[in-house]
Amino acid sequence: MKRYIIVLLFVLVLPFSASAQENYSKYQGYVDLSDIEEFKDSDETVEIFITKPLLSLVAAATSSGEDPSFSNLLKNLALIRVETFNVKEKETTKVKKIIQKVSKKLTKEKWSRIVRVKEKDERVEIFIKPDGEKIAGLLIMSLKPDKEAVFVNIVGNIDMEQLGKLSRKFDIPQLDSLEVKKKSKK
Amino acid sequence: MDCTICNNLMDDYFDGHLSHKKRKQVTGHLTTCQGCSEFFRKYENMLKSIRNVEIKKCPDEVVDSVFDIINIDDKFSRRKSVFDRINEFLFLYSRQLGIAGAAVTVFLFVFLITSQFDKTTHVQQQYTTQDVEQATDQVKLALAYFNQVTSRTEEIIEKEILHQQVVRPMKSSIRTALKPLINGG
Repeated sequence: MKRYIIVLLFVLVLPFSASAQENYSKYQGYVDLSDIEEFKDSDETVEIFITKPLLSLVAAATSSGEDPSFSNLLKNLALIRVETFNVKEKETTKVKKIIQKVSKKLTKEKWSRIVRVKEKDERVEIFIKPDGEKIAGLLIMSLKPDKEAVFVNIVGNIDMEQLGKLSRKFDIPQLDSLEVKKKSKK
Repeated sequence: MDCTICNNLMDDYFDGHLSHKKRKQVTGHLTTCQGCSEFFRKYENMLKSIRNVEIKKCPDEVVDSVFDIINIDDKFSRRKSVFDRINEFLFLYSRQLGIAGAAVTVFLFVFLITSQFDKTTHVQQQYTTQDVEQATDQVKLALAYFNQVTSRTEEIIEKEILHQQVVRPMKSSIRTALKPLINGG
């Protein structure tokens, strides 16, 4: 009898867990960045992972603000992910290899590379995932040796013009004082 | 010997399976009992009639049909129909199947309910105002990183690539070409 009760409880809990966790790999514009997990323990990292429900709330909260285009941009997005970490000189080669690996994978998956910059050891690669006339995903990979690596993945129906215009309004030094998810190990 | 015993021994008597002693007892009873003697005479006549009946050979088709019937019956007795097997399975595992069926039904019911749940309301209940404010700042920071990278890219393209590798060589070529004119050549 006890066994049957345990089985029944398990069956009741299972659908909640199944429906609760969203699988982002179903989105065309999502990029698996699990290769950079090992760098999350470095001295200074920034991790941002904002999902669709929260993006919708932010869009709703900012719809009556100064710039409605900010809200309009966020309404159509499914995910914003940012991963940055410090890169020591000895780690430069490893990060370059990760960038290369991700680039190859995205090329195979029919992503379009719109920017590729190689300046000494500095690397910048920008990919977009077309979906008909729309853009379903954007990935930025940037490496400044002995400084910082930045990975930005934006998923959803992206308005590149709006994104470009809006982004110019925001400066990292300005935002340093804000309460954002920033880990700093001393 | 009485009549019952005598009648029971009649078959063995005619088959020759009785001992000498028993045979004498039967014969002795028949001489004293009119009823058994009468029965003995009728039984003897019947056996003679049977022995005189002509035995006819049974046609092959009839023999084959009989064997076919025997074989079909044999097959049916060994092979169960699919329906019978399903019935047997259900009967043996009815309890376990009942529990499994109930579990699947509950699972489907709960899953359908949770997937149809009003997600907006659910989300609003999940996040506080502080969460939304923090998320807004995070979005701005994400856009700032986007700006940082794209600005740096523009810088590299304009200054490093275009200027160093296109504009400067072009200027140098033009200067070289115009040098004779400038020097009055």
